[in-house]
Amino acid sequence: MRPLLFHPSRRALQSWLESETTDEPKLDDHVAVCQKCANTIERLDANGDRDIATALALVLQPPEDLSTRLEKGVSARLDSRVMFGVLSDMFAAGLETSRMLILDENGVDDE
Amino acid sequence: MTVTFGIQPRVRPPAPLAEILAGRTQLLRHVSSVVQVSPIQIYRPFRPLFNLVAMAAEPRDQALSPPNPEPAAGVNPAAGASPTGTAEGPTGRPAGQAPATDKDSAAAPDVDPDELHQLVVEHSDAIYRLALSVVRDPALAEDVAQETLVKAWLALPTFRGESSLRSWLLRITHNTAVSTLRRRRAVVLDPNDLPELQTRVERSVESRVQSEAVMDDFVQALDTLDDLSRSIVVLRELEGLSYEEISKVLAVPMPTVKTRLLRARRRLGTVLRDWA
Repeated sequence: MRPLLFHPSRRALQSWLESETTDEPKLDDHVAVCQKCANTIERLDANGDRDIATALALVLQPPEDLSTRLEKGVSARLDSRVMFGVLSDMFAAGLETSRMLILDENGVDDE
Repeated sequence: MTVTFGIQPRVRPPAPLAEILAGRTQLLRHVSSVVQVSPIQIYRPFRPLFNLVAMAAEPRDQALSPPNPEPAAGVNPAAGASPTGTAEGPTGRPAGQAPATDKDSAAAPDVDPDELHQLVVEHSDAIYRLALSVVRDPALAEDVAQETLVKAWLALPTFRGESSLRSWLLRITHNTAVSTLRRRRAVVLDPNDLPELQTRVERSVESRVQSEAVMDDFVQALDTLDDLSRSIVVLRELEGLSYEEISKVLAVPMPTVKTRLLRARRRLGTVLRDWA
């Protein structure tokens, strides 16, 4: 399939935007890689659908104290990771020190 | 058995323990030379004390790092690259810069409360909305948001700034939400047991809009959309992402984004026609 020789017109892009199917493979391929046409598409669809946006904002509204709760939860989880790191380091360090004391340079118990 | 202590351990332990042990060994050697006693005689009775002192003396990013924190699952930091290719982190530093630790350690960064606060405040709403659109359960969406922020915080050192921080976070959110939903669906065998958006929506809508019937229909129409279409319409209409960004965040071709968005808009728009 040969690629498009020219950028599609605004009308063609508008038509592409309003088509429920993907039966224009050349155009599909072109808009997927062409920044100029991607920008045109953004301009053509700049307003979006404000009614849907408003309804979605109501339906998916976050709880008021969401950020506070999330911050506490994330901090606690990150702190617990740090503590786990300390404990695992302490445990592993003891084992490795024992190995270091007991084994010779070739990793063999020299007693 | 002859025991020698030096900077190089006799049997080199695997990194990063080698670095930890080197500090411990140095400390032991120093004490040994001061008190003129064999290092092993010092070490054995005071082993816990040496461990603690040496650990406290080490730089924090070495001493406190978990061995191998998991990377953000399924997250490609390059995803969602914007044409500008630059982004700033939560505190305005270059987004690819680690919060507090070096890039290669892959360790849990030190938690700077201010940076974490800024990250959460700026992006938690968008993360929550996308998560809720996928999982359809407010409590689960909050869990997904928390998981996302933890993953993002740990993966910030690997973020290369090729996309906007928001696109990157939303991609992590979507991946986390989808995997959470998959796990939940694997456990919940009865489809009727899956969460519905309606319960929460009825509560919030009652206090905010007069036309409850229209909003009920809207929620039902939203529920009939597949996960991908819901995510696309939320990213486009609420978060204002471009087609290209949505394509990269959700890892789907742009024509798919266009088609799903169009169908979703038509379905939801039909419900809202009277409301408008």
